[in-house]
Amino acid sequence: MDRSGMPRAATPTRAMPPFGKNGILTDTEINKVVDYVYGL
Amino acid sequence: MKRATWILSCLGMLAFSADAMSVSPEQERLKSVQAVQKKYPDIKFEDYVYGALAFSADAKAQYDNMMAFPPFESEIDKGRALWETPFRNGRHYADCFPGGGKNVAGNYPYYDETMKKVVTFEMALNQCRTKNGEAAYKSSDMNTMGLLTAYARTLSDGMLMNVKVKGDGALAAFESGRRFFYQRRGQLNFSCASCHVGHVGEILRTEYLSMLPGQATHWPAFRGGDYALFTLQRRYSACNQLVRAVPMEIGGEEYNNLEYFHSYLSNGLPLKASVFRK
Repeated sequence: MDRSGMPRAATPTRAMPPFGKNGILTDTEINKVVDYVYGL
Repeated sequence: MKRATWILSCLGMLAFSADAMSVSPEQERLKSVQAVQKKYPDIKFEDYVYGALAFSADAKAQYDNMMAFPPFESEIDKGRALWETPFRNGRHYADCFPGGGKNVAGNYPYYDETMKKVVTFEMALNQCRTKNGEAAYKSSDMNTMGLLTAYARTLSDGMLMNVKVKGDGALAAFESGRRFFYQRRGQLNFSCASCHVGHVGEILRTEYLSMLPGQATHWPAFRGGDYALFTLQRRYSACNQLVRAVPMEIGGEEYNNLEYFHSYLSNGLPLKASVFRK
């Protein structure tokens, strides 16, 4: 089953805030975090 | 495929709810203690009362030093004055409790079959006030109810938590508290259990995550650099705000049921009131 679009269904006990879905970070902010992580 | 997933998830929920109902409060407590014992076999059961401090010798040493001469002792004295000042009818809080209020707090919360709801120690203090012609304090008011419990609960220091869940109403209240503990909430989508069961003993930012059993024993607490007074339910409210959820009412039914579940899970562990916590 492809769960790539349902991270919370794939790991229901994981404590990872849903940054995009719940609007914790904007798309722009998420892209900046991704850029930073790639740069590590 | 979506339909199959939906059916499977419904079956999963059915299995989960059947499982939840078949677990008794005592089985739930034992399961919770055993999970901590398995992950941290070197931490003694009686040290669960120290919560996050049980994971850090340094933090525990700081606590021990602080508790030798608590800088918030004058606040406890204010609570003592509230406790000892007679009501206008001449009676005292001590007259409302067996043993003058000594070794009673561990019996709370209890489920009152007549009122059909959970009664916390704070509610019992308010019942004492209203029975004697005084207005009830707000459970969220740390300058009245907070200070009063900061002394009144010390009279039960050393008593083992002894919360009972018997009868259908009590079980329903326990189950409601249990659901609250495991329900994810807030913009950050955390449940109490996400941290205190799933990641117990791990470090969140700079702090260790305390274990569920024992969490209800050391209240109220004086917290942080300014020793702000926190009752257990004020802590619930603060936790809810940290996960960016709208907190429930302090002294309301949701938190009372949560405290009922939470306190039962601390059964067998000694109480200590008015302690320091980071």
